[in-house]
Amino acid sequence: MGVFDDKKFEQLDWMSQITEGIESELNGLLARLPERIELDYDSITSFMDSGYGSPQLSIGSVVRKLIRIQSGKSVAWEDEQPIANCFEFQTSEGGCTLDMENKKITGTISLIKIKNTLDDDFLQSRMGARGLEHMRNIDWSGPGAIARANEIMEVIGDMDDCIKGRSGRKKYLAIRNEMARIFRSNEWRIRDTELADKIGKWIAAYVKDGNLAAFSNFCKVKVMTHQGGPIYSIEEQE
Amino acid sequence: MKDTIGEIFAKFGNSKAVFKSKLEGDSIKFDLIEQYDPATADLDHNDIIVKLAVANYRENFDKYELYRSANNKTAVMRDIFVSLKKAFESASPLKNPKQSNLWKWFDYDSITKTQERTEAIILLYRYVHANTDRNLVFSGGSSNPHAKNFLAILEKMKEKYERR
Repeated sequence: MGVFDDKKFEQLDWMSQITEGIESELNGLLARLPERIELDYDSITSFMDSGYGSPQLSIGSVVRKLIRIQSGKSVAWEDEQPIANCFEFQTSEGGCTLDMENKKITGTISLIKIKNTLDDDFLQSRMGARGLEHMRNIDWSGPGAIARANEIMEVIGDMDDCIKGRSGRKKYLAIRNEMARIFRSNEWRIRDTELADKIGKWIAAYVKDGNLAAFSNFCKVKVMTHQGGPIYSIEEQE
Repeated sequence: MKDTIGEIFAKFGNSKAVFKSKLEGDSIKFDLIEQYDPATADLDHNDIIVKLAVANYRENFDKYELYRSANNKTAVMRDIFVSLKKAFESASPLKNPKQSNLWKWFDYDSITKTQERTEAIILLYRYVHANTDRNLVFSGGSSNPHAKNFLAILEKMKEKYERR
């Protein structure tokens, strides 16, 4: 096995290898959510949006709570809506009656999964976005940070103008914008959202305090882009 | 003895939280089957303060407490002040009543801080309501004896309640 082997890619069936579908934990999460769930009185009132107007039940609020129950955590708002779009409500013929005075429901309300995977266009648009958020929270002008940011820019390539500058903040913006462009245009052909999200975290870890394992992982991804194939995983250094 | 605004609001009931579901896009709305009508409350509905309370009746819903009437005393008092200011303008003999010290006090300093003061304002409102037309304007303007009374009462209130 070589250092630059992509184990995840090798494990994919031939069809997936050809189509280069995007692997995403969000699809995994969607798969774990029930195909159909009939909401009883307690679920309806627990999922219901409690406001001062008339009560309502939105697919988003039900899915948000199902995700929290299923995975023990919440997902970003931007990811939640596309998952909610994979579901629809179905009620019994003529609607149902919700009697909150006597805590009972007449008729049924069900949530049904109508799509089993998220659109690749959406996943591509969110590629790496969560990782890049990590870069915002570090000090880009701290000791050695500017030099390390320059090294990152050298690895990314074609960023000579920004390397010459001395502003840490401008370097951060340049790296963030360039990586966002690379992800959006699929230039590096990264086809796994988890891997893409790690890239921003690795950049942040290296610039922050010179984490060499993080820098090595980042460089490895960049080298693998020269192989010309899709990238699903790398052999990471911890 | 008339009910206080608080007592009036306490006599209002609430809607029963029984809903019919309606599918709307990606959500289900629950519409009340029967909305509570405050005009059915056991009150003297000819009383002007009751009328104001009915007009300002609101109820809030939350899924734990269900429907509760919002004790909207502030809105009733606000309506009373708006009406009294309108009456003041028709009662005053001045060309520009809003420039008078009495107006300025009534406009800025007549906040109902105590129950006694609130009661006084309500009694004054009842007096004005009984002696003005539908638009709360004194017929004959400042020459109307009730208009003079109204201003005299306000002056007395100013003397008693003005912040020093």
